[in-house]
Amino acid sequence: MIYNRIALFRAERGESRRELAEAVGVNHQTIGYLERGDYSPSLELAMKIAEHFGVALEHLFSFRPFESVAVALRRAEATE
Amino acid sequence: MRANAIARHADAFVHWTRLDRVTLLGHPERRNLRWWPALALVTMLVGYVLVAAAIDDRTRSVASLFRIATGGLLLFGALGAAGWLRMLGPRLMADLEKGLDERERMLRARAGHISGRIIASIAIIGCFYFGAAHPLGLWMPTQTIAWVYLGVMIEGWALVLPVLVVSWLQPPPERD
Repeated sequence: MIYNRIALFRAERGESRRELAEAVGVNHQTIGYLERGDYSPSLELAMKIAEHFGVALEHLFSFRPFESVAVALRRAEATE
Repeated sequence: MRANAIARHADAFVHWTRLDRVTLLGHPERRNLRWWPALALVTMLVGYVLVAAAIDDRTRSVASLFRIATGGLLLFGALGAAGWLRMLGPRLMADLEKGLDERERMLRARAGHISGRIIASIAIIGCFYFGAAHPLGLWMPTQTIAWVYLGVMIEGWALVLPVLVVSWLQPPPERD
């Protein structure tokens, strides 16, 4: 299982699935399956999506579940 | 006002029937069809059985002619529906707008493999059955038209079975 934060990055940009799909050259339903974890992308597609959001691959995909935004913010506050 | 209302109703009808999805300008919202292809498969089989059984009836009674007509209608109606279901179900072919992406190509390959395996298995079982039918006195097609219709039915199955398989292989798509 590969976890991803595509939905989070997409929401941050205010992009629809269709817009992201067109940017990376796939069917918009494929983006939905990716976000739900029903489909694991090829390396090529993963790199295209990471490039589209301007982040490193490991910021977008992980073998472990990503921590929630709330947890990340609390941790950031604690370290300040 | 009246013309607008007619146009609005015509639009609503086209959306309701999903005819908009199959036009060149339409943006098909493909969805999984988990039961309609199964119904088409069964209808083709029922149609074939009706035709094949009635063709052997040499008396050419009204009842047998009725069975041939009904069977033919079911078989070819379901064959037409099979083509329609391919256009409404998950994408198995590239369209004018875009080709298949990597997920769709993978699904098509899996569906093609599974469907091909199922149809090959049915053909193998059919060969064994037809081989044994004559010595055992079991029914088998004797008329040319019955064999032709059998081919038509298998073609119809090959058309619609991948739609059924893909629809069960993938979860329902998310709405955008």
